[in-house]
Amino acid sequence: MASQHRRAGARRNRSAGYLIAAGAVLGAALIGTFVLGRSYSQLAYTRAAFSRLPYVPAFDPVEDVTLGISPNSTYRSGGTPNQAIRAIEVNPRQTIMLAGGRAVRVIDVRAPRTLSRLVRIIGNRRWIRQSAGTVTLNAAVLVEHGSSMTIAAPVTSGLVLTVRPGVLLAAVNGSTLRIAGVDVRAGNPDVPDTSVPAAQVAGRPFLLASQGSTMAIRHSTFEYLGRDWNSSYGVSWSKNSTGSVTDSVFEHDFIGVYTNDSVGLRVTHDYFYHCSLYGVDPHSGSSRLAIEYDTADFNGRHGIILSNHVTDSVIAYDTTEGNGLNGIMMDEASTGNEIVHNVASKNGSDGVVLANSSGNTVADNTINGNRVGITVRGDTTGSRIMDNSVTGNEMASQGTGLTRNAAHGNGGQWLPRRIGLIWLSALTLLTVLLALTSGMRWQRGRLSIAAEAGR
Amino acid sequence: MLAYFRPLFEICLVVLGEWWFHVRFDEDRSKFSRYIIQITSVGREVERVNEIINEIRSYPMSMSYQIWVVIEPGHSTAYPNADRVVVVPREFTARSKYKCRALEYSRTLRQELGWTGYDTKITFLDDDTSPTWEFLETAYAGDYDICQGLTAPRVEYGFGSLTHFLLSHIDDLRFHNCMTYCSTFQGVFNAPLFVHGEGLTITGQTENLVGWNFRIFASEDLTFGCNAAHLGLRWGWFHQYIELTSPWTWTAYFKQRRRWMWGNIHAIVNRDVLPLGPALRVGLRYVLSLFTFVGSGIALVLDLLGKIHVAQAWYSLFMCSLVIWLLNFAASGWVNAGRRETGQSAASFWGRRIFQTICAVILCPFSASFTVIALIVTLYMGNPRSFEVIGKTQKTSDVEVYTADSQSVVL
Repeated sequence: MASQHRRAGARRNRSAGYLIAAGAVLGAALIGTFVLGRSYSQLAYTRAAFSRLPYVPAFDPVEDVTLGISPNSTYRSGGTPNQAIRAIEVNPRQTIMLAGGRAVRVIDVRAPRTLSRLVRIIGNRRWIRQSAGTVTLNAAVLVEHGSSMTIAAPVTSGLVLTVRPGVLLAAVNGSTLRIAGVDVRAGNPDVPDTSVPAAQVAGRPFLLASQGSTMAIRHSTFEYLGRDWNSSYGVSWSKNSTGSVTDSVFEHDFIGVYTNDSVGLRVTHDYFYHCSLYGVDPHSGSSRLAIEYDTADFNGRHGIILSNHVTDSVIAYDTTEGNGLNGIMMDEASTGNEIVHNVASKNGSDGVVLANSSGNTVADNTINGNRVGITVRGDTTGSRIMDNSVTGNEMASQGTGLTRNAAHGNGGQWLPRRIGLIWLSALTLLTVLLALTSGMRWQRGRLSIAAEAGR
Repeated sequence: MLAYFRPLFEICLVVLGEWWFHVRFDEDRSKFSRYIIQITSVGREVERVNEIINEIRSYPMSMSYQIWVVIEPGHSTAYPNADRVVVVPREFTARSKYKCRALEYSRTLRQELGWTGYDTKITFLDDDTSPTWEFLETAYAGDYDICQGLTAPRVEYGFGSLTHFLLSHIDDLRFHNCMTYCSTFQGVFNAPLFVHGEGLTITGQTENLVGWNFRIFASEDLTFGCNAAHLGLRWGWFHQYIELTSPWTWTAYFKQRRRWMWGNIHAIVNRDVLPLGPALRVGLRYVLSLFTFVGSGIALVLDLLGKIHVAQAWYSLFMCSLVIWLLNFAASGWVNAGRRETGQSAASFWGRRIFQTICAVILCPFSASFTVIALIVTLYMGNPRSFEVIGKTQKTSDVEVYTADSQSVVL
């Protein structure tokens, strides 16, 4: 019977008290590690994945090519005309072929309405040629002074811009350029990253709308374009130019879309992948832009950045994922913009950043898996951050609270030293508890013996 | 925030209570020479009570013991394996009513027999509870004036209809509460917060000292246990299972909870029933439950709406708390599904156990919410002023629930 009772008491075996103490300490240490072993304070500012070379004040690239000087010409070093720099100026009533800044041929025809027609007018394969539906440019094509040109499939479904100094496609001085259904790419796929000095890659071709011009793009792709040089980044709108780009893909360009003093540009339903610097970069004084339903993923630095007085624009329903730095950023007094209904996830640095930019609204965005969900720094007076879902970031926010937002599952960085301290404390506590358990069991045993003896 | 921390607070209690049992629970079988296992029933559950008696008889008990069945008159006394069947006489009068009155009557019998010393141990069972063999052995050996084991709704847990399945899981909280609050407040602090009649084990001395003659119609277990502690008697808690059955119908569930709720309220507000200290303690528990539910519910909604912002470190702690809360329910499901029915295959047993554990976790928002909803509903239903008995098996639940309207016929 006694042995049976020992079986009955098996649940209360000798080691159970010790095991419970050990389990409790282990659990407490795990909770302590999870809660206290991480930093919830400021995270160090992430250094750029690569540094960018200093900005060099330089001439407008259209001026360079018109003058026949090197695209690397700067205010300090103007350069000399070079016959190898060639441009075709398309004017309303005249097309002029320039080499080294000098007219080598003047064709008195009305401005051709298509690129294919221009090829026929020029009739010089060393300057421009067409093979099946693909046009290859060996010279700059400048649609000038209110002229209008359409490059569209099926007549022109491919456009190759040779990699050589001075090759670009531009609409300037109130002209119009329409591109539809065209695969546009550079002659080779060597897109520079920002560590490569611009002078070494002077021949990277690009597209530009400048000086009150309009460029409208749809259903097209742009690959391997641009370099880190004034308005030569990829596809750019500058100096009061406008237009639209929709349903298009920008891949492996230096910057997907760049603007400078552009008004009312619409960038919608586009994809920006693996651009060396940014996916979308509205810059310097651009305003009333609509950047909607775009995807800017895996770009070298930011997915979308508005920088230097970019105002009154809407960034909505965009997705930015896996970019080297931030998903969406407002920088240098970019004010009065709405950043709403976007998804910013798994970016190397922060989901949404407001840097010295006031009066912006950041609302209804889904921000997850970034280093910091939302970062605010500098003067951001009047900005509203609300109704965002901020989840699973290393840190929910920096420089701002997240009242009126839903922030869940964000955590700090692990702190090895503090974790070590937690587990050292746990070990100490475990020792104390085991000793206490042992002491109490011993005391109970003594009492039992005393009771037996008393009887 | 406080509401969110409750699981963390509770796990500390669980660990403390369990640890205390393993290192400090005193057993001394030599102090006891007589053991009475008493099943108190209205008398309707003859089949179930006989089943319980036979179960006990099948155990290799290490002590001599008697099984008493205490019933109301007018019912069958066919309990062939019971040592004594006590029918509470209609003319027996006491301040207490219903079940408590029957208990008082059985006490007087023991008093007449002179079984009022410390050497007599009495374990009280309900007509829906199955004690395990280990439970009875430990209850007998426990060197305490009054002690209890762990209640678990293991009998036909999750079996049968969807209603019983859901009600079984609602009772996951009963196991959790017992594991948390009984283990510590009874075992460690000697100040019970919950007392359950199922498996309550006392000495003859304790019974004689405290008695069952309280002016109550329900919650006789809580009243007895709290008064015993108030008199300085020594409480003990041990981790052995007393297995019970969850209600089989929603009506039965609400009747049972209503009885408990109003029985407790009656005890809390009457000083001749519960002393002030225990009354405040038990009352505070109800307030805490309500606060946890309302507080955490409101906080959850405000958080989802982004109206409040919780610092990240606190949020991490809440996540730990949530995980512990889910683990609590998983543990309840695991333990409650741990009774192997006769003839059940190993595959069926383990499959069912894992299934019920998963169900316990999935259903935990429902289980927890419904418990509080029942609390509010039973408050709204009002005082039954009687001891409403519910069917304890699927068969007896199918007939009309027996509601007491006279102290002479109902437990």
